[in-house]
Amino acid sequence: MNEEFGEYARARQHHLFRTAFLLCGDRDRAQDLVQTTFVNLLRSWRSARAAENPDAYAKKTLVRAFLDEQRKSRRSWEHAHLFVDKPGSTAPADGADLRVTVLNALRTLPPKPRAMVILRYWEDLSVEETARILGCSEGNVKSQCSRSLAALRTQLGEHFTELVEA
Amino acid sequence: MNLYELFDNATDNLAELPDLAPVAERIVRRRRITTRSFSAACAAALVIGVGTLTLHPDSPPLPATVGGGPVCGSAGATASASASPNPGYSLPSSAGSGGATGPGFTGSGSAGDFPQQAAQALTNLWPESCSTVVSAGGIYPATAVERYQAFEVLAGGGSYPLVLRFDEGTGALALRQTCTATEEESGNCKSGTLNGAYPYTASFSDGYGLLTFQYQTSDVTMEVTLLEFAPAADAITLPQLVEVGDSALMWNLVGLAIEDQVPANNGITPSGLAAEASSVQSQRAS
Repeated sequence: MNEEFGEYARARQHHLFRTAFLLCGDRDRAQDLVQTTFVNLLRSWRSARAAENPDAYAKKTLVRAFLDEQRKSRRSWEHAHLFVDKPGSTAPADGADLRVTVLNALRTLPPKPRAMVILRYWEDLSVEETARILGCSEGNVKSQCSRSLAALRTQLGEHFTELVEA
Repeated sequence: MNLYELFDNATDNLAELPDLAPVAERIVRRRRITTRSFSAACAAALVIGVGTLTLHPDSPPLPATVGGGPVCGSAGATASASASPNPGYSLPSSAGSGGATGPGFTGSGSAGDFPQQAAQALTNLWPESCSTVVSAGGIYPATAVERYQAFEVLAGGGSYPLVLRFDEGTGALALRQTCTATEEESGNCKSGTLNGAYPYTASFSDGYGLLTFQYQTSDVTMEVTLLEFAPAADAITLPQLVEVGDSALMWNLVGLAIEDQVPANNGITPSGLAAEASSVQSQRAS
């Protein structure tokens, strides 16, 4: 149907999958998010292709799909939040423990600040680009990222004092 | 270890996903067709509803003759020409069905409903007055097209086969090339666009004894194939076929076909159709 879209999707789906996994912390939900992203992207593929940076378009679509999903299932986030380990209770270590610790730390953040941190420090977007994708002000991004980093630092413990400052 | 490295570490063991692009394309295609079918159903329902409301239930039957054609009294046609979505055709029966308000084509149902719904829709659309389209029930030998449904047109004491063929995407049922100038002049071929968007070609294919109408959207190629072995079928003209293909009810049939309600098929070819038609004819003759 659309070879160009197929090539783009195949090239980018793994990276989008990783981003989605960081956002939601669950492989199946991450796959669903990527699928939803592709469906939405394909529906407006003409605009996405015409955009200067199709990747930014895709990231925006993914983050919005995630936030929409969170809005629809707000309770599930609150429920998950209850079971996250308390600050400092988990000693970070290598391998699987480290992954769990990072994902747990991310889950302590509300959806939008979590998306901000991921866009800023995983996707390496600027404050301006992050604000544009999330539809908020640059000041909001800065303040939320600062608070989120403080929370993450507390969650991740002394091993990760080299966290990047906002 | 900075935050990027932490995130990288947290996600570097994720397994590769299967290719999601084809699934996304299929979802988008189905949504488009569902939307289109719904719009067509609404349009048809609106036209039929308005037409029905304009008729007084106690008034004597109005002439259903359109374009000089005869009235089909036995069919109980009671609609006026202005109520028809397809001027030029005999109109749907409503009085005979106990106050039914339209052709009864709902655009929904199970796979088993498609032959009946399609037959009813085609009966309402078919350009010959007093003709009835019934499901043929048989399977034609075929090898190429994804889905088809065979019907029989009963008209004037005779009958002839009619086949709807559908093909998703760029499959075996390729759209015939547009007519050449010579073909257009001969009157045996007509091509253009439906709704100003979808290319169609209607043609006589003398070699196979077929009268065909094809059109193609971005998702589907559809063909109405009419075998010309009965004298009654000779009266069908290319413009009439084009009008049939362009009708809202026909768009509904396409929607149902893509929603997997037409029996899947291994295919059908013109030569296979012609051979089957010959067989049918010889059986009738004997």
